[in-house]
Amino acid sequence: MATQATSYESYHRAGWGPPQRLPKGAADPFHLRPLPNEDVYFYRKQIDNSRLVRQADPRARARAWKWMFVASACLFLLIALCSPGIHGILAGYRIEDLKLEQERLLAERAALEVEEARLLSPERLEELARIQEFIDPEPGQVVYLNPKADGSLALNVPSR
Amino acid sequence: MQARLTSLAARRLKLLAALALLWAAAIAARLVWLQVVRHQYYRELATRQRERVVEIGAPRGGIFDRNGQPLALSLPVESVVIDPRCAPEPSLAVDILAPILQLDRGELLQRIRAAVRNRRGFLWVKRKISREEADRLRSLKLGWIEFRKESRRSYPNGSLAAHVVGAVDHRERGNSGLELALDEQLRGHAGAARQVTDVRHRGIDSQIAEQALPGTNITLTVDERLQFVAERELKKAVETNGCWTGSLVAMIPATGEILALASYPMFNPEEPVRPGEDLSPRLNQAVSVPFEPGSVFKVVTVTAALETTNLVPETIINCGNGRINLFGRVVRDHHAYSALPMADVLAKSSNIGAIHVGLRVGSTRLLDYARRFGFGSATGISLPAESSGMVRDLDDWTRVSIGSVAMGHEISSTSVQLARACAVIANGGLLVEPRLILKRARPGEKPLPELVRPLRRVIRPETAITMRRLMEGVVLHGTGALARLQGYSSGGKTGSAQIFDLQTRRYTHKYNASFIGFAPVPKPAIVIAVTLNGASKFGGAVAAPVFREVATAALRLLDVPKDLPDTPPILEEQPVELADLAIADLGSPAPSLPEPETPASSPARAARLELLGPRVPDFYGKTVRAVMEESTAAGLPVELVGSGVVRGQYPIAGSILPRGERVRVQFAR
Repeated sequence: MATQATSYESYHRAGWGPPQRLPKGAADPFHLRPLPNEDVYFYRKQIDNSRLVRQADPRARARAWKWMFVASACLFLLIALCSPGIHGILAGYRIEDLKLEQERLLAERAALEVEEARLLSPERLEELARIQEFIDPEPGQVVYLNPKADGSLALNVPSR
Repeated sequence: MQARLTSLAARRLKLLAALALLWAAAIAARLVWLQVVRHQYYRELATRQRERVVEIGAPRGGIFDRNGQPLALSLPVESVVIDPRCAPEPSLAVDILAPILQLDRGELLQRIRAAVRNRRGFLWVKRKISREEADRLRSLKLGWIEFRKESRRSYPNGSLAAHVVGAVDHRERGNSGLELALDEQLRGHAGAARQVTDVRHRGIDSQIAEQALPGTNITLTVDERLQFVAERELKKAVETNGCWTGSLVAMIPATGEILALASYPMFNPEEPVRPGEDLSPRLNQAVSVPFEPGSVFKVVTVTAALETTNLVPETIINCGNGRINLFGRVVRDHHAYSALPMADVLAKSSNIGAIHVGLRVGSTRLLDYARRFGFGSATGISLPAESSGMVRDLDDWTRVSIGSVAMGHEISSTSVQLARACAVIANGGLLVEPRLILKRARPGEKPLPELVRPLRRVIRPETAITMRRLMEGVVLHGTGALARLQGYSSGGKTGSAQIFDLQTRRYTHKYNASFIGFAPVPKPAIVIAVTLNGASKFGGAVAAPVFREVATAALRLLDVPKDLPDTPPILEEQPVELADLAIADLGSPAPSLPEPETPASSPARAARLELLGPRVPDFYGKTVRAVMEESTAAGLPVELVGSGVVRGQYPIAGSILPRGERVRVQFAR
């Protein structure tokens, strides 16, 4: 079994790698000893097939198309089989999110109902009516109207 | 050599096959162990990992008034819990939680350390937090902080109708009022759903494991607006007159539907009961506290006389100049009337007259009529701790009990019982069952109508009509003058019963001042019973004005057409006789009463009034011809309205007619 280093070295020696630029006569300090029978195991037979011509196979194209069709059909079938499940899962996510949303909105509505009831409580309405002087005057009570600053009369008669 | 090698290879092959078989057997055994023997365990483990149980909230039912205004609602809220074993260092946890939840750092640290020390895996940090607090905590995304769903009872009107609605404890279980009485129906039953989750605990699918059952919504007969007026007027009367407590019941006499039920002192149901707190404000004075009714009971005495004796309203009753010897015991009245028609015995609230009427009726029949009017038995109102009052059996009566009971002593009743008794007169003689619940329904379901028990006739209709007229007389020319309404006829009866002091075992000069009444007289739409406990004045002075204000509001809200022309009501300053004190302790001298201010009590004032104009005679009950003759003889200008007999007049009888004015006389059949 050749190590990576010997393989690398053999690769260079075979002339496939970049040319060695050692000075002539100088010994390579990293030269490794070849393995036994290396020339046998790593023998490379040169074959010249430049004159070979590929013969046209008229059924190959049909076979290729058939395989493509079968693969597409399988893929489609797989998608068709899986898509309901996937859609179900996605819909499940959506439904659960909507349930949470519904829960939140119901809580919000309840809070708003309470708030509305607080705002419409008779005690508050009476207080508002008192502040805005909507309370009926007591029997016999005299209410004096204040004249406007522009000199008009108290009964809001427009000034001439 | 070849055979030896073959044998060795065969042995090795067998050994290898045996090892492989053993290995396969081990795997198979393990598979059987995991999938057959421990199937249930691993199934549950897997289920726990990918499934979780989610609680489906079932909020407590709401309580609404008859117009759908909410009086009590439950709001979903969240509570914060932690697992102290998973939490970081206690001090760090406190640094995170305390500022957001506004908790005391030291106290929280102590609780967390105690939980860690006791190896507890659950600790409530704060319950029922606000949404803002929850959002702030949730945004930290800390795994050791968990949220639990709870709900909080909210009473948007504060203390309004608190004694009717009641309150709940921290677990949302009713502890008073309807919250307690209808707790089973109001309380929802939470459901559960199994939710399949992904690796990030996001829900994918869920199936309902247990259906949630939300609480029943209760719609009351109470009208929020009238309840507010009732509580406001009751509070004003109690505080103005220095009373201890007070109660008011406003009811539709035909159906028994209670429109307002007020009790003073009040309380805020949103504030929980604290240890050692005085619970008396939470006591429903109108339902749970019986008292001696006093002169309002004379209505029963006179009704019994009309039904069981030959007495009629015009029958002259001997009032003994305010003195009677009852089985050797001398009884004195608050006013020395010599003789009065029975109608005036009621109107003037003569005690001696009532005793004479009671003696004519007899103790057996008087007791029977007290029970017919519902005294001594619970009304069946849907509130907890209702008192049935007290009506003693004849065996327990003394010889003078007939006199006491005829005046409303030696028995006790609640304000609800008084309202029901008054409703008997107002609805033509039927004993109604006071109702507080109009309808009830679960959310999304059709409301179920409330079952109404058939009414029981307890007096004849003609007697009820007669009694209405007599009670109208109480308001027109009797002790209930301050209960006169503007634009409506009204009838009623005042009552003032001395309060018995259990410590000194004597009757005090504090009164249970009460008024029962109805309006309008021809077809009563509302019955009101007002009671002020610990009053220093009489029922006609303190309770009748409350009736007037509440009845005016009720008739307006019920859209009842006016049956009289608008005339100013009698003000407190006008001279009217309001003393109606029932003699509490027969045999003892009558308590000294403040002298009523009458026009003749001050000579100078009488002379001044004479200068102002002539005194108006009493035209009540007279025909057109009689009124014309009398007014012509007296030289009084009159304005006649309607036909029949006189049902009202203004100015009232006995008052001074200002010069240039006319007496407006209203006739009706």
